[in-house]
Amino acid sequence: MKVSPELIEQIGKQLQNFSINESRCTELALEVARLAGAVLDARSRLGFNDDPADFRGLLERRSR
Amino acid sequence: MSTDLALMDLSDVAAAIAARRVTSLAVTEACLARIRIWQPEVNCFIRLDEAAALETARQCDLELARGHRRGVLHGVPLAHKDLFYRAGRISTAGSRILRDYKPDFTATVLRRLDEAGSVDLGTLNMSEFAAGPTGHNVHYGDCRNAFDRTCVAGGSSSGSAVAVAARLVYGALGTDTGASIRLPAAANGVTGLKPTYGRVSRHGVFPRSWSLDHVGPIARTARDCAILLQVIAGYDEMDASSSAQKLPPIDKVFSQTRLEGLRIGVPSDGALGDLDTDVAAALMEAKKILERLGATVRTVPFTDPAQMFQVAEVLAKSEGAAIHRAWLQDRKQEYSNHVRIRIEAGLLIPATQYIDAQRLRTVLTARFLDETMAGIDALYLPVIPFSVPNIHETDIERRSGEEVLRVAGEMTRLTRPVNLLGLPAISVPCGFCNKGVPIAFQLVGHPFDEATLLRVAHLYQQTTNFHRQVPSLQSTSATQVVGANE
Repeated sequence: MKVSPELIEQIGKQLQNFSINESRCTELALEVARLAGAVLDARSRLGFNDDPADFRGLLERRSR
Repeated sequence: MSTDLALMDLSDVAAAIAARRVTSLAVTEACLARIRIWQPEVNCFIRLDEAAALETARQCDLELARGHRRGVLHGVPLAHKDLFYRAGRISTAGSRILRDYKPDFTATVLRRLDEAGSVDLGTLNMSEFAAGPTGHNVHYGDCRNAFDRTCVAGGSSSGSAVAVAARLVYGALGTDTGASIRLPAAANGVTGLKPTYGRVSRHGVFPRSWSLDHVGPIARTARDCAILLQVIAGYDEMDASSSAQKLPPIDKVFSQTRLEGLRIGVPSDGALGDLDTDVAAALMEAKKILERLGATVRTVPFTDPAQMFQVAEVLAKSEGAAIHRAWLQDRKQEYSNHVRIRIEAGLLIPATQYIDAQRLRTVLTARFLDETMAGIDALYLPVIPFSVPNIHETDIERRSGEEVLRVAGEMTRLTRPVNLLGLPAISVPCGFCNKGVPIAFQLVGHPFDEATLLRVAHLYQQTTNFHRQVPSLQSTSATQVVGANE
């Protein structure tokens, strides 16, 4: 995944009302690409029945 | 005043107070005497409530004289990371932004400790907003390693681990979002337990990440951690993630003297990545001791911890950004640089990816239980893959964003995945590096099976003395052993 520093600047400015300087935009572009890419890469494991609130239930069901 | 009382374990001092062999006042004064000597060297306290602690201790002694014991911690001095709220007392969370924040309610865990009779000595240093694995803090000063003041204390519960290691308090609470109980405990030669997610209430605890935060004890021994866990664990209607699962009675946990029947898993070669020679040797020796105690060790798959790490990061950063968003916009300059850097990316991660990370958490945990934990009772891992680093080398305040993330990532690469999984994990001292700074192993258990981890750690500590090494101010290495095992 590739994310451009310009996109980071625009998301910060337009969606979050948060100004980010140019060098930080470059760093954040790499970081966001890495994190978002990790989730995207693993998304094939998910089905529409996977509930985001199920984690606690899993721990209870698998408790010893 | 002799400081010898401060060298006792929590379990011993609680029993001695209960039997009226010592007073809570004498014990509290012994701790305060050590704090006066150590605090200038290690900077582990943010706030010391000396007068209030002495008054509570006197009250405990009067009550005991009248035959009333509040609970298992009656008269025992403790102190906790400065993010557990007490109504009317400043709780800084290690930050400048909250330097005057006085919550109007008390954390459930502090209330439970109060009801059990503990004496609260004050609040302990920590990484700013619990974001940092080293213990650096630009606002309140860096907390320093108890064994070597040139090394990091580990974070984010830096003060909790150092105060326990230096024998200034008998136990302390910390929080663990990516390493923050286990890592400082490991770096300071004390025992730290991250319980199962939901085991201990988070109500009244400043959040780092609601999904990944775990509250747990740091103490000198596994037995002491068990006593503290018994007090703080249990359902709390004020915490939406709280569980009603029961803990087994403490006597039952420690009733066995051997580990026969216990199955320990060790990741297959290469799964852990590079380990320092000192760390690998200490881990190898500790594993042999566990085998001599009767445990069976087998190799297990440990699939893609890097993926678990990154999914955990998506959760921590997204939730961190939600917590800090208003301050990041309005009070940006009041953050230290490296803390702001750790959080900012969360403002830019799409909501769908955050939700997918939550869904992946369940899928990855199920896979971990089915593949890695199947057929074993505990997984054996290092805590920190290298020797505890120098405090200046890891001062990342003026470094690039890339360098900040690299240092944090390397220090927590074997601990943060366990926060995603929500499983219990304990950090147990098992040696010293060539600088004389502690090394520890980590055991990861099944959901709500803290008892197995505590039992293994306890039996290991019955045959080793690593947790008995008391740091000295005269040198940078341990010079005194207390309560040595025979």
